[in-house]
Amino acid sequence: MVGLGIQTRQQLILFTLENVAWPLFIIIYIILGLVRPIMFSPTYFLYILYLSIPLGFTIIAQAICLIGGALDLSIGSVVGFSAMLAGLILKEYSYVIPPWLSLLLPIFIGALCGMFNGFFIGFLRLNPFIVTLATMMMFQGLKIIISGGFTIPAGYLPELYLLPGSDLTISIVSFIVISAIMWFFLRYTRKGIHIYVIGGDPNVGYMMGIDPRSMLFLIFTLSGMFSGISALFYTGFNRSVPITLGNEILFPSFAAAIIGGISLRGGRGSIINAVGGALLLGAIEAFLVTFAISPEGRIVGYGLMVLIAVLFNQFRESLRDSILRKI
Amino acid sequence: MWDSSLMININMEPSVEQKVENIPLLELRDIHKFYGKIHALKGIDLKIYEGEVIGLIGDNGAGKSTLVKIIAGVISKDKGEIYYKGQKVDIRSVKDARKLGIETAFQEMTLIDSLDVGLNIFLGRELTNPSIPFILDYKTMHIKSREILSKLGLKIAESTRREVRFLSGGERQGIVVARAMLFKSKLVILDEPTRNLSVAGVKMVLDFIRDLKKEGIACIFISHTLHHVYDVADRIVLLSRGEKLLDVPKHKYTLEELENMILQAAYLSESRI
Repeated sequence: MVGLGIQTRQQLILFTLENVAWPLFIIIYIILGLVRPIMFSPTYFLYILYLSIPLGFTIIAQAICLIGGALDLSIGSVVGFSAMLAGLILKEYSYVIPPWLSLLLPIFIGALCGMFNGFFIGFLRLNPFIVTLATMMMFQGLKIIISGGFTIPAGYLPELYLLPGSDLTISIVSFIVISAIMWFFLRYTRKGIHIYVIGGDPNVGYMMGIDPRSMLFLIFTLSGMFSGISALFYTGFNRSVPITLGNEILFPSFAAAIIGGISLRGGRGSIINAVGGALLLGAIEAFLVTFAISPEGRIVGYGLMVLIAVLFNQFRESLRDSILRKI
Repeated sequence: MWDSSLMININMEPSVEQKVENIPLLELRDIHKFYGKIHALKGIDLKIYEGEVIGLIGDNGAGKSTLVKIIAGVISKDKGEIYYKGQKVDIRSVKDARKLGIETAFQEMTLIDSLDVGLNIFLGRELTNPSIPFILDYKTMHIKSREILSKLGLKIAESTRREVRFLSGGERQGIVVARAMLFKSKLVILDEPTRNLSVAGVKMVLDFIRDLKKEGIACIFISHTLHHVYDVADRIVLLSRGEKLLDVPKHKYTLEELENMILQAAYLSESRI
């Protein structure tokens, strides 16, 4: 750091702290690569990116809720339910629905699920934790009921519907484009900034003419929409709709959003960093795959990761505050 | 019981005098508000004329902030009517109040800690790019924030990108007042604007109120004590326990006379209970 002024150095530290998910991703990736050199192969790297994308959309969904001062426990269930319902509709009616429209079907179903959450949380002012806990169970059960206990295999689904999730390039490009749009929306539009306001203090928002009710409705609708997008990509990724789809999404979606610096206190955080958190989580998961770890072991791992992420974020925020206070 | 003739005499005086001039900008008639069983406002009548500065005073819990929030559209009244330039209006939201040109600086510091100074000044009214309508125009917001804050003589004018949670109480109050300065239109309500302010800060606020008057903008200036509002107010209104005890034009009385009237009114209402 020789040659840099104190101010530049401080700004550099602040910048790193604010976007810590990315340097952390690089460092941990290198460490993991030293243990498992296969991680350094470009093919394996692309595979990790590809693997992270369906989950990445749910992390954006969770990040929007957390920024808005709420949380969404139903994300995994909404992903599973909208993938299953969309799959069943396409299985029966694919000859009437134009293929391009089929791409929008799970997103639309997800948005409806989100509106259902948003109605109770926004307009009836119920606690987001309780509402999404209830809908988590409801959508999970509904998914199993409508599936009749069967996986929907690829043969029943239109090829275009499977394309986004099964093609590596399309997956990566659409993820980058959609996250960029979302980042822009949150930072550079009035509605986007109002999500930060509501997350910061809904009462202040109300007194300044921003209606927390309709904002919460919007937040959960967006969360549902992104869960629906995730459903589309998971379906393509699996080339089927397994009955277990969405079962293991909730914890990683929290962990990644928190590693990405989205504050649990609401009103803080950036989508870009949540994406960094998604990649970090993907790398760790890909690393674990190279060992023979049981599913139970992975669940323990996820729990541990959420704890570490919360601790880490707390430390990061207090460090950042102590620097900013001095300036 | 109590001497009602005195109260009625005091209450009637200003309205009789000003009714001849014109219609009030805003008129409140028999405003009631209940918080559960607590009768927070017990039939408040108030007239505010264009360019008039009302010094609204009273102890904590007198109902000042409740009254202000009803005018600002934050809470709804349980009974009573509001007239704007003689027309009956229904103020249901902050947006409704803003449409009528009512700008309020609330006592609660309406700031979002995690957002910067510039965004906090424009909270809920963010400027958008003139050529691309839905995109925020951060540059103009920061320039305007800097201008208005330096007018108030606040140092934070130089760092409008700072998150407000790192600011002092006075600086935070400054932002709330700056917002009112920026968005003033017909009626500005300042709820305890001088709280936390330095002597220089208080002077800025008082100057701001005088400027409003020159521009024909009405103002309700709220404070605990008469001393803060005496210099700038045209009319002194005293609230106590949800009732209006006093509503007098200032120029007819000296500070001592007003103080005595306030004491007397308070004593009378006290002895009634």
